[in-house]
Amino acid sequence: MNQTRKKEGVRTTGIPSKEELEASPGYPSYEALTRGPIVVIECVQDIPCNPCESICPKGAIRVGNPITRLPVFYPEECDGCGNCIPICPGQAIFRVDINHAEDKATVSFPYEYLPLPKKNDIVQGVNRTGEAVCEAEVLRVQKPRKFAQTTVITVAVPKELAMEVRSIKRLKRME
Amino acid sequence: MAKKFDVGVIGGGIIGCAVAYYLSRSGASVVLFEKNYICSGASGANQGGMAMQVFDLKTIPLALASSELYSGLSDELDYDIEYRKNGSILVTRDAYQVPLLERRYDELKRMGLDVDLWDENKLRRFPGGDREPFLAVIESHFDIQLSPFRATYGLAFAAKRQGVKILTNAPVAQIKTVKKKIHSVVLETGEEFVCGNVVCAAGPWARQIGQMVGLDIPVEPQRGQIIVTEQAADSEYPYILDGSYLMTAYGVKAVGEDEAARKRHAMGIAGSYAQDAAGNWTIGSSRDMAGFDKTNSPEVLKGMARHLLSFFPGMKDLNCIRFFAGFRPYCVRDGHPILGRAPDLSGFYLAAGHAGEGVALAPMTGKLIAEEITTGKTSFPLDDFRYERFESKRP
Amino acid sequence: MGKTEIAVVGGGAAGMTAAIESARAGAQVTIIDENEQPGGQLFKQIHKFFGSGVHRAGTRGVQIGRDLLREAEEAGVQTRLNTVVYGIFPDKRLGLICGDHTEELASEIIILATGANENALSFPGWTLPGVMGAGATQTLININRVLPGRRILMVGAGNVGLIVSYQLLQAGADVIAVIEGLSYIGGYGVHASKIRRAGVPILTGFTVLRAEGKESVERAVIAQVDEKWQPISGSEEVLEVETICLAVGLSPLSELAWMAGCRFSFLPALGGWVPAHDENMQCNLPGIYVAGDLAGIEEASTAMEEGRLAGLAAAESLGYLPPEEGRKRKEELRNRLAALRIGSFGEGRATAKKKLMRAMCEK
Repeated sequence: MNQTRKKEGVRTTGIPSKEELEASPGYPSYEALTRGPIVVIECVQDIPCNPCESICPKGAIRVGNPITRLPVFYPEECDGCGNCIPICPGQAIFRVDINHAEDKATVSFPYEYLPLPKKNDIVQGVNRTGEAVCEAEVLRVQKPRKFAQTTVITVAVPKELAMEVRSIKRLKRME
Repeated sequence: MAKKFDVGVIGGGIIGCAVAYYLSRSGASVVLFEKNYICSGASGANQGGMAMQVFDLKTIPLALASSELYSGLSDELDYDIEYRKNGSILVTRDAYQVPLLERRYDELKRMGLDVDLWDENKLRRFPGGDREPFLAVIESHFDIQLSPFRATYGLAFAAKRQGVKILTNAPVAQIKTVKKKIHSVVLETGEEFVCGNVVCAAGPWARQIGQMVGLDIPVEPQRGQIIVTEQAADSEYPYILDGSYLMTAYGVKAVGEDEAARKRHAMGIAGSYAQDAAGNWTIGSSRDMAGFDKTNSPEVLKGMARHLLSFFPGMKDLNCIRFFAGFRPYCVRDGHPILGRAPDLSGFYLAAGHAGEGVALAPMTGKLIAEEITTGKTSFPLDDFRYERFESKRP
Repeated sequence: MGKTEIAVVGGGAAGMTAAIESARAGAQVTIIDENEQPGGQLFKQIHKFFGSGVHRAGTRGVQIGRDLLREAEEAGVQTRLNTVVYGIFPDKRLGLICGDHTEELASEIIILATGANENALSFPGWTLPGVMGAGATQTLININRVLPGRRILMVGAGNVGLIVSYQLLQAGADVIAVIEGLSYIGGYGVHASKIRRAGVPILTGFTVLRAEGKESVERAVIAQVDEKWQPISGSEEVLEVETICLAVGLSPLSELAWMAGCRFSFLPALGGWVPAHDENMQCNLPGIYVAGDLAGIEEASTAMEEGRLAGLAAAESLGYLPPEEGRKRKEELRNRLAALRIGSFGEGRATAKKKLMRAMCEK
């Protein structure tokens, strides 16, 4: 399919550009990532919305008033609990542990498809355009009641793709 | 600065558009004032049928001449008016109406019209099945149906192409006369149009227009309600009226009504069922004088629905998609149209009071008014319809 | 003829909250809905809502629907289900069709919450089985649990198009593409991002030219359009799809409001012809209120707040609320509504709503 895009950006492609992400106060610097597992908030539009602020037990996410303000992330307050991941209605919050292993990082992301993968499965990690960019090992599949049917999956991916992988390729249904 | 036209036509329904169209063919300069939008009055609130077999005998010749004009109008206007000549049937289930229909049949036959009174065999065949046959049916082969919207728009578009200026959302506020001669028309906006001739084709608002020139035009709104159904398979008889129609629309008296019929007639309900070119049925009819109250009433809607099902119970599951009300311009003196030049007022012409026959009489009304304005004479006698009939005979 | 104090026409998000508020205040309330159960569009909204805590952000629409049903029952709201309101007559009489007979219902107050209808897009082949509204698709997959097809083209990248595309993926279908005639995506970027990361392409500046197939849709032909929405020759692409979903906007279902004689205003930002209302959701006819998508196409969250406002105002007008309490609570609801109508996605609606309320004072 021919998809030459003249303009970048979420409004034209559906994917926030690198510039939009880095300009968002929810998007941590690489330096912040190196200090431990923290969340990455990829919220770049002024939608009236603030459950991330309400749920964070550490006050690491502030939206304030009016609620169209972009969430401001305070990485130093974040302990990586990940409660915000399933509650974001836009599924725009992820957790990255850049230091998981020598050459691997982990990415945790919200997932609402069936079937779910199982721990230790090797699946395909996809980037924001849905392109499979690596193999990913499933480390955790969390679906407690309080997540209200949004599963949070944690996968291990090559370290250099930690800020690229944002989901996995959907698994084939059993017919 | 006033604009100048030969003729100002007040009213953009089928009558006004027909008048404008036929005038435009004569070379006269014409402006048409419509206070709302084209076809927004009775012209857009009827069944599109011409059941001439129920008309007053005086009106039938004029209607037949109109019907003749309609047969070629789609080609002439280059606009499909969905003209169909499928005839109509007038039916009854009530014994007391049988003499009414038989008398009617004789009258129509004497005029040389193409009608049949169904014999036993035909009565058994339709509606057929296990339904009780009708007691009497007059089938007219000369009745027609068309789309009143398309006919009105077709006339308006053709008039426009031939130079008529059509103004919508242009209510008339004043008509100026000088020495009992029409001088100009002034709109509510203040715009003035100098016209030596004005045609009142204002439907149920004819009286208001008449007041502007000191003429008492005895026309009042007669409310009618219609139910529209979803599309259905083509019926063998797409235009059906019931004998009560002669009573509610034409005041024909009958003895022997039962209580249910009395209640229906009190609401002006009589069966009038027309299937249009797309297959939708319009279910009518009702008549009451309610001023300009355009609301529907559940009693009338239910009354019409029940009456339909008493004839055709098989239509029970047909879905209604909408209903509406409209105002027939009814001449309260004698129920007949008022056509032609007004007495004592030079340049004022009436094309009013068509009641439920506006669509039927539009082409001839247009043609004859145009003739009278441009040549002073009409190719068809208008004596029965002139305003003079209201004036008392002076010794 | 039946009687009620407050008749609520439509038991969706706005209708239910209106009924709950006025019933809690003490009024006798009847919801009339043509479906088997109330809830309107809520039960199809299986995604989590935005907004703030008070707007129930993070909760799925379907859960909110269940909660409202329970609250309505607890508040003593009467319901007439499988019942169509076919007309609204003078003196606030409603004409009802229930099963095989009609009835009339007299009421002191009518709250119209009849929602909206999907717009259609016509193109050659649009009557082939397989072309359907995105909202209808959403009902089919989320309520009836049936897939309309496995390979889908979504036309329209507003929130409905994006959300339903996502839900189609969840239901196991493949959305081959989302196309949008505008040069940008009108819906929330986050909804678009969700489907992009699932591999669904979103093509802006594209329209559907025609649907092809013998007995049902087999292919869709799409093409790029220029600024005048004219197809650019040579840009045609053929997509092998079985279903073409149309997500091209909603229009208020306003027949009853027209019939009642409400004043209307034409506001494209709110979906076209919208009945005008004041700051209490009352239209120009005393005792008739409007709420939800009928009063302008917005969202479930605004529908619920408008419903509450209308219900509260209606109950107050009948004397069920002391004026000071009524004033305070209505003000709070107006603030909550205002909070939903800000930002680049909301301010257009806020402006349009102000125009709508000004139209009440005209002529």
